[in-house]
Amino acid sequence: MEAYDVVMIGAGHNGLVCAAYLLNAGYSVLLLEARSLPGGGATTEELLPKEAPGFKFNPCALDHLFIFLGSVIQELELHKYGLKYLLCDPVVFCPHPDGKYFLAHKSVEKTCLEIARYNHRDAQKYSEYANYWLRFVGSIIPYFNAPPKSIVDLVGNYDLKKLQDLFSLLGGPNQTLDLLRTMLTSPMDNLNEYFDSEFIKAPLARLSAEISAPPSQKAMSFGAMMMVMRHDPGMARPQGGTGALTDALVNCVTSKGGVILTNQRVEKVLIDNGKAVGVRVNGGKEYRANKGVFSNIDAKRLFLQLVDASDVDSADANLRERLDRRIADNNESILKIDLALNEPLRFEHHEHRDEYLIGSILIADSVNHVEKAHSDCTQGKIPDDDPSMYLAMPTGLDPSMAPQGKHTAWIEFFAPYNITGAEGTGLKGTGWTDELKNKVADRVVEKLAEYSPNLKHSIIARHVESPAELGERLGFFKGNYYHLDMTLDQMLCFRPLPELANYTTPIENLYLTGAGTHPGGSISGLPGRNCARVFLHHEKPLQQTLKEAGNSIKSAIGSVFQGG
Amino acid sequence: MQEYDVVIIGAGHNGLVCAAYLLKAGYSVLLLEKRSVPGGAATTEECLPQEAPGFKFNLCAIDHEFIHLGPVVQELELEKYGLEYLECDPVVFCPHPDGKYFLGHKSLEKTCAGIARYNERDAKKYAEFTDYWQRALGAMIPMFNAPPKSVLDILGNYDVTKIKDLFSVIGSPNKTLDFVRNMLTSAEDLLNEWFDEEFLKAPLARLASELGAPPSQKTIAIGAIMMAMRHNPGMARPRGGTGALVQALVNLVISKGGVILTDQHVSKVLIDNGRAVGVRVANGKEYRAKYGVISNIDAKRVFLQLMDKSDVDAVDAELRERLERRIVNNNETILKIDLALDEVPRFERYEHRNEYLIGSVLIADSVAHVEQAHSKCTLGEIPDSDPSMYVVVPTVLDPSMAPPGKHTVWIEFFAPYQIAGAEGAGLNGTGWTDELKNKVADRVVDKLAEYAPNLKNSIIARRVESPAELGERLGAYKGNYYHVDMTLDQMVFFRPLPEIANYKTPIENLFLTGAGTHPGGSISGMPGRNCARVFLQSKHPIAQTLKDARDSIKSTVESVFGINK
Repeated sequence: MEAYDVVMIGAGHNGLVCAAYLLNAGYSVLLLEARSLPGGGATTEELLPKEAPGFKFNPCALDHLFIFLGSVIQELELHKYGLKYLLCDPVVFCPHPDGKYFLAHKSVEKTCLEIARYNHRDAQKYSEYANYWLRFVGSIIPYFNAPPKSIVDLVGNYDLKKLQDLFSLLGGPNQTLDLLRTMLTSPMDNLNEYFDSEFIKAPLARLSAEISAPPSQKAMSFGAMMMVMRHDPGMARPQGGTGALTDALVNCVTSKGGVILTNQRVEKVLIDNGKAVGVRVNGGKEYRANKGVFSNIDAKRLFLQLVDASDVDSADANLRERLDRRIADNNESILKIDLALNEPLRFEHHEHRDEYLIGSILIADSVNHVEKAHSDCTQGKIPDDDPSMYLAMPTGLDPSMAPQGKHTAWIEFFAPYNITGAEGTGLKGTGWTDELKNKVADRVVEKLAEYSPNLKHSIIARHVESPAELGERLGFFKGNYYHLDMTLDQMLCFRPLPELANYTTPIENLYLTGAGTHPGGSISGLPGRNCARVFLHHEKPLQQTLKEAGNSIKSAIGSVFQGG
Repeated sequence: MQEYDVVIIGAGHNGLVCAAYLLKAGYSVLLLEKRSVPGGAATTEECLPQEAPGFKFNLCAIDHEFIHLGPVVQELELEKYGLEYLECDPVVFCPHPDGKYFLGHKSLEKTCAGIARYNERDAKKYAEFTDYWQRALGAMIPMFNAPPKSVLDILGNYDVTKIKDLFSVIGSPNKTLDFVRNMLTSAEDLLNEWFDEEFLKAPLARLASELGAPPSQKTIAIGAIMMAMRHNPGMARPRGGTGALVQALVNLVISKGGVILTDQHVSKVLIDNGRAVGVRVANGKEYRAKYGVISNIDAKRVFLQLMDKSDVDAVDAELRERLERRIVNNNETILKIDLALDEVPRFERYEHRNEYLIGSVLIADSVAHVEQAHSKCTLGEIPDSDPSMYVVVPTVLDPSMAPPGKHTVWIEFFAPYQIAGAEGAGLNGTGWTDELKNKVADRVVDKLAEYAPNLKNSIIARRVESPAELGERLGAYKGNYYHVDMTLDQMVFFRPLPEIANYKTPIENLFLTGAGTHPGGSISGMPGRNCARVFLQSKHPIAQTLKDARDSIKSTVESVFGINK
């Protein structure tokens, strides 16, 4: 039997990041990926080789934000392995039915000037809002870069600037309570407090709700990060697509002797005497793990599908039931549309400028429009009578992703995983069929064409993936692209459950990483890095602690762009 | 000019409770009520004198739970002033479309036995669930009975059992995190974790959502206590209706020399040099307050409507904007229907028994049904395509509330205050018209009649109050019957805002009480009692602290029912 120090289940970007850190520390690592290519939710693929050859699509993640809150890129020197980030500026464009539009630049000041064209008060408030939430981001960076339950780690990560951010938010007792109160409110509450104009509230609500809950959802106001991070540290995309990040990680891992095997679906984690000792893949082949088995897939699939019930029960008699029942899933997933286009989008009714096409484009006509886009999903309804969406035209920033002069459009439309009333039909009993997904995609495209009328005659081909297909392709439980909902009750030291929140599990040598662990989904590499640190702490506690204290987080923000 | 030690704006039940404590401590008190009757949302009125004479209706509050978590009834000896509580048992009935039904008794065991008829696992889980929330409730009682920011007070309120409750809920670090996680989650998440059956989840979701938010709303899983409290201390109604509680309080206040003036709409709080010194009412008359003006109306109205801008700005330059913009209102309120009936509604398809009609009757067909009942309100839509509702037939427990053999029905239907797309139309620009409210009421009654087919033929008369009318009658901002939404971000030391969460305000001698202060809306008397304690403490710090430490909370929970037995 082949033996490695560490066997990683899944080669998503967090699995790769984690592997890279372990390889750096001298461990041998094997990654086993169920699909035919590594990357998980972070791939770039030619989805339409026949109808649209040479067009490269990002089937899942596109805009990178969180990764710049940590030091993964610098520590792993990913630029040496071919990674180059292209900075987006402007960062957001949101046209409104009344002819107004929100155009956010990387610069807060420039953004305020745009807002001031329509509303002076809101422009001034925007700068206060950005300032408040930027300080919030500053103060939580150390928390993101540490295992949630290790206070020592956390204190080591707070440098003077971040402590200042924290204290500036906290202030006296009433200010502390006020911060806590803000954390417990909803994006809608927070936005109504600051702003009057719909053209600014709606796109901010849409971005906040990217954390995957309606704007009215309480304790989700921290979704404001999704906008302010676009100002600082900024938003960027790897040249060549999200897959280029995965490629760089793969280069890094293989150059250090790591082994990545694809088409290897792990079917069983081998447990011996309460300790994870290896895995078995489809076909029956087994791989030995001398030091640890790491799961890049979520805890629910891991413990309920890949480990014998008796092995879990003997380590923690309540764990299976808690995983099965306590983890919340709001039924929201994504219907993904990728278009190959003959010409770029043109926002005729909004004084079209090509710079609109650099960042994220939001179709969010009002806060209620966004509310419906999410709350319908919870109830198993498809919010397609008036679709709200998040899209991008990646070729606006990076022409290399399509044949010369051609373009692609990336559209994310929130949709329910299980459709109410269609239980038991369609793919996996979700109610989703090819006919239905295409009907919904037609409505989404029609809505977009109201803003960009040239769209419909410029489509060369399209690829539509239903929530059920997305769930199947990536193995996500209920098509949840964050593995588990990113609501506050499942974040930080609650993710995925308090007893599993520190990357370790009750089964010795079995570790968790990936979107289902702190700090959560989206492209950050932080679950991978934090998990590696916990493992290394276990292995060489003293040495590691000293090393960490020295390195801390010196290099964090900003440096990516400075380096490029 | 007349002078009192204290002038209270509004004679709702919290204002009256507060007044009673102040009178007992020797202060002279004047209460000014804008309506022609005291009681605010706690009145019982013969509101259909022509069509249905002799029928008495509770226009707002009906089922009393929270008041039994505090010592108000005992400390004020309200039985002496005519208050008698009738205990409800069963406490909840919820018929389901598939023929199953949930019947909650006061006894947990009996309730579980009923659930077990359909599902053994859920019955067992229900016992665990109730035990958990009972212990959580036990741990929270001291918090309810103290000003939120006074740690001393709270510690003094923890007796040994409650400390045990606290530790049994919290326990180890992971259990502590688990408890916090429960506080951050939604009723829906929590119910899905514990239960499988819709007939059980739906009524529990409906009760949890009585806090005024959809079951999917995070941070208010604590709504689970709305059912747990019905088991212990239990649910009861004053004989003669909710107004009988007010009557007892009025009797007490008057017997102690308090003065209650009705039809006195306060139009201004008089401020002199940063200090509240009295009020002016609509006809121009002024009343002096030597030691304090206490507001039973919410902070938003008192600071934004009853005071000069400059007076507020002078003490806290940000307060007005924060009150105006930071306090959250999810647009949800109530369309209230009261029916006079010839006979009791009969739930024919559910082996009808009159005991179903003792407690609260819930029409909640599924968690999704309850979800739309609330989430649509946020969007300004009326959830009347398939109405969910909370119904009571008060005359089954208390026949004195209607002529012999006759009955009344009390229906609460959640509805938006502001209807989307109808801005500027209808009453106060909300979109509500008489025609619309009656159309909605028809649909609500139709839905109820699907369960109780004899209902429609037995209606003698009905009264329908739209959200806009309710808001106007009670003066509640946007018809919000809790004054301020009862979501976690506006509870405890956040209620209504951190800087005014301790019943005090930046204006000297101006105090806040009522539903908009900790621990919040519904019939509890706690905001009134807590506010009185803060007032007394600020006037006689040491004496009061010692007295409180002695009295603590000796008499709390079960004693209400203990005394009646």
